[in-house]
Amino acid sequence: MAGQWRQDASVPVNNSSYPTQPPFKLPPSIGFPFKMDEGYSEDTRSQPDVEVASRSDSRAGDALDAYPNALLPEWILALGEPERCELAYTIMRSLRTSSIAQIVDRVNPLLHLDPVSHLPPEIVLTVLSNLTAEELIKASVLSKGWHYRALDVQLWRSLFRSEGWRYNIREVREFEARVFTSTVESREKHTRVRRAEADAGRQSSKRRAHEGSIRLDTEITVPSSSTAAEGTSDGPYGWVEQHGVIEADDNSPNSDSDRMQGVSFQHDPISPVIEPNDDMSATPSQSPIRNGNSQSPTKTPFMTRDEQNRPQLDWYYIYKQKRRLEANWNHGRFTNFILPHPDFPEESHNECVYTIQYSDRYLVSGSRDKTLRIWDLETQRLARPPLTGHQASVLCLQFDDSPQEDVIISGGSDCHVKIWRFSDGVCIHTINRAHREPVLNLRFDSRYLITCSKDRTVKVWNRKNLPTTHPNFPRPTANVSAKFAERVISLAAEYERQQLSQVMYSEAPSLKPYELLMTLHGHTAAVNAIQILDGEIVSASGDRTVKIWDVRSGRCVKTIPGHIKGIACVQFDGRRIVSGSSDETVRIFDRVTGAEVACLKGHTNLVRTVQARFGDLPGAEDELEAEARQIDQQYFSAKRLGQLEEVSREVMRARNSGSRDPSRIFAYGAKLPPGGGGSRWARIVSGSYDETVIIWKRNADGEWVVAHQLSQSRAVIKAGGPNNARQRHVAAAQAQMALPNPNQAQNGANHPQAPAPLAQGQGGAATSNLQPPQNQAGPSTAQHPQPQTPVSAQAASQSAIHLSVAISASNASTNGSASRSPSPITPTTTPSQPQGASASASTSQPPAATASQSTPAATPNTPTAAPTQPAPATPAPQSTNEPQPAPAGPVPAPAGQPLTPMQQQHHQQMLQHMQHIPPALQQFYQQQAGAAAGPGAGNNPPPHLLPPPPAMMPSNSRVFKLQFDSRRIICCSQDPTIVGWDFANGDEDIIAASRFFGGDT
Amino acid sequence: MSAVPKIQLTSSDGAVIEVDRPVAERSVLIKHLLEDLPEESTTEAIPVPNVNEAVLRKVLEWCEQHKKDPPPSNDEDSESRKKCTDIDEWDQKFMQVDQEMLFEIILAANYLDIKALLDVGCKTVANMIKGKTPEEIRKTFNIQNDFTPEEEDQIRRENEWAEDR
Repeated sequence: MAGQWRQDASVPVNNSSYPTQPPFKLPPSIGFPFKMDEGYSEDTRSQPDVEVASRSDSRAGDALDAYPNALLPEWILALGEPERCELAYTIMRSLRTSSIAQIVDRVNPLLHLDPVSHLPPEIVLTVLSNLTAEELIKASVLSKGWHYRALDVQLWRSLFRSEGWRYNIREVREFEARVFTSTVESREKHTRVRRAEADAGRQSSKRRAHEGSIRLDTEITVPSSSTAAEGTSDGPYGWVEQHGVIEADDNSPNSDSDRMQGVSFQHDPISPVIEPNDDMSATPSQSPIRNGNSQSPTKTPFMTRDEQNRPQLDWYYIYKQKRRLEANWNHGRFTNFILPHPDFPEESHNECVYTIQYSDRYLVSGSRDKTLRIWDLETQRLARPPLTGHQASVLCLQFDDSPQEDVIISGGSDCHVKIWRFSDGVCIHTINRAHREPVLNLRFDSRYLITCSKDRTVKVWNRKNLPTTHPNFPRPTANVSAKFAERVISLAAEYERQQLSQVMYSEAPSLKPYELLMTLHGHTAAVNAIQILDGEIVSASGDRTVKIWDVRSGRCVKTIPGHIKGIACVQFDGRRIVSGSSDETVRIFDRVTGAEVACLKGHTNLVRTVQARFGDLPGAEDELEAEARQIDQQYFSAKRLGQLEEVSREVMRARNSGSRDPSRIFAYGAKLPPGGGGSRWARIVSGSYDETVIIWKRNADGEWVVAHQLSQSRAVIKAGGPNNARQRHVAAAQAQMALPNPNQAQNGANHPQAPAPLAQGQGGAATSNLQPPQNQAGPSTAQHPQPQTPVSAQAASQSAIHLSVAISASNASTNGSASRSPSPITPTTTPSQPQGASASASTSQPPAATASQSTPAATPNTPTAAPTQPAPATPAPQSTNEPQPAPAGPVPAPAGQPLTPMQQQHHQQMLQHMQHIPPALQQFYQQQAGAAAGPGAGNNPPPHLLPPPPAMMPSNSRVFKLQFDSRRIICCSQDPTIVGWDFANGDEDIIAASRFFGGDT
Repeated sequence: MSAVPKIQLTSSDGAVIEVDRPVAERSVLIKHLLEDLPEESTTEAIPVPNVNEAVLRKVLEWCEQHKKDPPPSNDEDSESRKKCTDIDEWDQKFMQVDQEMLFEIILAANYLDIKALLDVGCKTVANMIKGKTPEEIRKTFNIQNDFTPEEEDQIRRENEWAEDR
């Protein structure tokens, strides 16, 4: 037989297409069953008994390959596989090598099967679930079928989770619930429509590809004409209505917020659901018609449809927008906004703002002006009138606007703790004299309220009615660190007596809400910051230590040293403690061992506020520990091999910001790797007295580095802040000769990212304006004794005062190193710099000392901008350049100073800027200033109403408190204006998706 | 010590294969089937109508190798989190088959409900995607690019975010 075929080989071979005999022609009208984008569902499950040859039909577009059998004579088909195999080989051997090569080329693709068309979709998804986002993106370009599969929403949902990102569970559930209910209802109402639509979908052979390309084409819009039932489905899903974007969404993004304004303060997740249902029932069956009429696209970019055309949350879109948002963070792309809204400056706090917290929708701020204010973040407007009641500065607060809690708790310089209803702003309870000295921080959870104070104690209060029979009722034990409240002791004793005598209570006695449970002693200086998580309290003190306490027993379970000066802020996530200190560093400690796993250097003054988000993945604990252990082993083996030199003093001093390099490891045994672990999206944001906010990221080596340093004051200007920028401009225009801050001009013009320069160069050094201002972190003498010292020491931060007290106390008591720092640590100077004890530094000391001796409450209501200090920065617009600023006073602009070229340039800019402010508005500001200075304001009008001179501004923005979520950083400072950075950067897609991003607190 | 019980499986093409019962019970489908059957009828051959002999033998080879593996955990989180596509050496070798066989094994594992084998199969396919350019992937799987140049362009623009870090 073989010979026979070899004979046939003499037949001339047609090289071009068919090497076999010509009689077998391709049937001209063979319909291709092959549809690349269809092939995965029906005909792909290969039947086990189908032979290879006949299964190749869907592998290639070639007709010959599609129907090879049609070309073969009966007798060949009748042969078995081995015989045909032999036959084919024999034929091949009869050919010239070049022909064989051609055949190999043509046959080769047959060995490669497209999984998307050969495997069922769920298996394709399992395959794809092993890919990263980048690989999936790559896979999505392969073909339409791959595109559709690679953008599967479930894949991206799990990718989103696996990045360690959180999503807003409430929003997601709402969406899903809405989809569910409306799907059910519309099924009932529109069965016919749906079926027709489904049929239409089936008829379209390109259906899936088309759905994929909806995303391609429009990305953010689902063209309502694409499906007949859009109106019936989208309407009910409610997004449209809730957003108020049915018709005009494209043109007026503001309409959203206007619409939202109508929503009651109580964020009620139910109401938006009802609304759309109403809409739906009003237009059930005409919907398609209505839809047909309105061609306007419906903006529900985060919605897509499954194969049954049911709407679902588009996790690909959400993931993508999250990544784009993260890229904005990484590249420092943001917009700024302020509270109050620039058009409503009268809503502003009158003095510096010590504390803020925000939720999805609301921000609550507490100020030196004794009020709390609740802001609607969507409108940047006050949500209700200021909450009054504190008799002195509001220093700390926490709120929960959920309907279950509906509470704000605030603490102040008046030593009181007040409990307010969030929904109506009514003060429902006051803990009078909660501490002997100002309440510096407080945190609560559903069970406890924890407060800490300048009086060096931490107190634990119960939040709810607590019967002695309740397991949470404290069982007082002999304990050095905790002093239980008398009533707790007596109730507990009584309870035990009852237990012994076996008498059952008819009604167990109980502690009322907000009764004191215990007082924790142990810190030797003011306790500046506190956290509670589950059963543990973490406190940070001016005594340079962090302490961990058991909330039930009150036992101090760990004291963590590390900082070399007082600690101002702390955050605890269960694994790590992140703290910011007067030593200008942020440090990360392992909770279990207390080991310092990172020290972040970048600020040039006290770190007053910090938030960290490590983005742990579910079940990360073991991995973290394993990683930590591995690095330890590397360290020890390097040490054994003599590769490590003795840790030099320099290295020790430099600390480690997270490097895994064995030569830089100086703490081992931690449960956390250097840097603290976490996902690649880990982020720390810290705010400092150096008037900047630093965004920290980890580099490839795991080290924390400064990704961006943001200037508080510049952000206010960028956001059109009324308090500083505009009024300053008004003032400048009035004065005609106002001298601008050269630093500011330079920064604005040349160094948009230059960190911190505004905070510097103020040092009275006349040279500073001759130099580029961005020598930010430099230890230069002139910069550290910052000129705002007098202002802040006296007029501004009371909490800073506590810190300084605490810190100097600690210097005196706990550490002999006080002698090394010649000046007590004032809130303003940075004694770590020995050169800081220059002339100007010493000038700054007296006021600081005064301040630290007086109780904060005793500090008169001196507005920030009008200090009573010898060297007030307030009135002198040119103070940047003037070693001796003009005396305080409302007249802002002493004239007649010679202008440097830089100043002239800036002056021009300011005048130009001034022209942009409508005269009416200028008048308004002036009136505002006048009015505020009039009644009730006393001699010292609130600073923001008294247009401060431009040069004042940089010295007015020590950052007191910040918070960030997935999208924003918001911070408050010495400046009464609260400022935010929105990394959505105005991008509508990111904004639309961000409602589903989880918060980070 | 009694002998390991044996059962028989019939492939789609009629081959009868005898196998240790614990080996066959790597398949959850067969395991449940056997549990439901009365004791005496386990001597009859169990038909596996969706898997041909060659594939079935291959699958059983895998089951034999992995008969002592601990039962799979149901930890969804760690499962979805594990992006690593590590495959142990024996499995890697086992999976060095032509693509058709690979897909057949995956389909059989899916049908017989052998999750670990399904995972290995899927990871093997995933590894054929990793580290390749789109053109290389298309070659690997003989994928026909059915995008128009315009569409391709659009997708490229669409995907730019993935490069922006």
